[in-house]
Amino acid sequence: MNTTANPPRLERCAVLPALRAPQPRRSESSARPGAEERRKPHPQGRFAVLNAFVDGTLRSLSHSEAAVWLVLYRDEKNGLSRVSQKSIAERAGVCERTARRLLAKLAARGLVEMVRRGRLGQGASAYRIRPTPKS
Amino acid sequence: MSTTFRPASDLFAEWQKTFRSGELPPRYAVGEGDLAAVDVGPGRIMLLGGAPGEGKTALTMQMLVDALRLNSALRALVCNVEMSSASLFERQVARLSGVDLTTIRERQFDAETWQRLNVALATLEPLFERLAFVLPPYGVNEVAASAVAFQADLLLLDYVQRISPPGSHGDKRGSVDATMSYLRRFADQGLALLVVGAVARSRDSSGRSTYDGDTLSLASFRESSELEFGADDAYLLVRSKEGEGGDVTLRHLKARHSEPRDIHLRFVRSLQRFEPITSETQVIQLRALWPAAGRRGDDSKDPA
Repeated sequence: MNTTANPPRLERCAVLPALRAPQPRRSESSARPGAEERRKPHPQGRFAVLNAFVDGTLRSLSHSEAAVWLVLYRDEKNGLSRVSQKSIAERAGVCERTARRLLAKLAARGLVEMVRRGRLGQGASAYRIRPTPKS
Repeated sequence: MSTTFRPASDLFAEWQKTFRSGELPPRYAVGEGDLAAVDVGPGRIMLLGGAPGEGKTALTMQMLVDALRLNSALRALVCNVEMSSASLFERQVARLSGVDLTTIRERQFDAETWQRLNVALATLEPLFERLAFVLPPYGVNEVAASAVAFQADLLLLDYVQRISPPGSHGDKRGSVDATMSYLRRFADQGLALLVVGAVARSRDSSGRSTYDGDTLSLASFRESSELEFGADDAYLLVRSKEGEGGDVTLRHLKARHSEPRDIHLRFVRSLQRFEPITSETQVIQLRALWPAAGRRGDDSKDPA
């Protein structure tokens, strides 16, 4: 135990400034052999898609069209976005009918492709998104 | 049948004597700068709510410890149903020393850290001669008996929905109603109370259940409206949407004796410390505490 004779005291509401921030602890999983191969895809890939969309496509879309594309982007996993039209509508702030119309417009421009149609009891539709129109 | 009244003329005469003397109604300062605006004093109940993990315990303990620092004769009693005194001590040491809570918990200290910790410990030790903790069971009777025995002036109850009144009161709402009635009596007997209350989720504009600050209100306090009715001041601690991460607002939703005034703070979670945004923080450099600036090395660890 460390002791010091008569250390000074802080007056009134005084506090000492923050010391250095703690270093993040190295997780055990990252130290195991093979951890490199099991890591998730580098985020640059996802950011590259988002950057291309923002830089090249966003200006030509309405706010609602952009909102629908962003919902699909947010839900993308392993190249596909599996999400119901109801969920798209809720998060984009539109009704379901409008969501279907917006999806059709994005598809016509080559920004969204429905690769699997959802059915009752068989899961949501699956979409593939592109950051720029398919040429 | 006994009577329980006093003529207004007698009460007015007593009050007028104090009023004409210029003597201020007693208040306990709980902070400096913006936090000095929080009104805590004999006869007052201050209620604080907020979502889980927002820092209600950290803020009320900061207020209580700073009240002990600013009011040299104040005696305080803490009834915390979820955290031990050891956990609360660690947080205060982090707050005062500037050493983050993780480092304190892991006990990994070098000489510089020890220097800071010794200052914090030396600051806190004399204060805690005027502080006591209620032990379980956490009931109103136990709090009352402890307050009398310890001669407490200020009570911190964290949190009110878990402190049981005596007797049976049907449902949870009745129980909380009864507890608040007892707390009101404590205040009327001259105690000052800091009361932490749990809040319930509300619905946002999309119908989703949330703790978002925009949806919380006085009605958010769980179980009973007697919580906000019985309090003299009611605050909600919410994250600010503007500003940086860590910015919070102490929304002043009810002020029985003054104008409500929101207080903007920054919560440094690693230090369990609330710092004012609009006024200066009383942060001093370590070297300012010693006459020889930057002196180190007196605090090497014992070889044992």
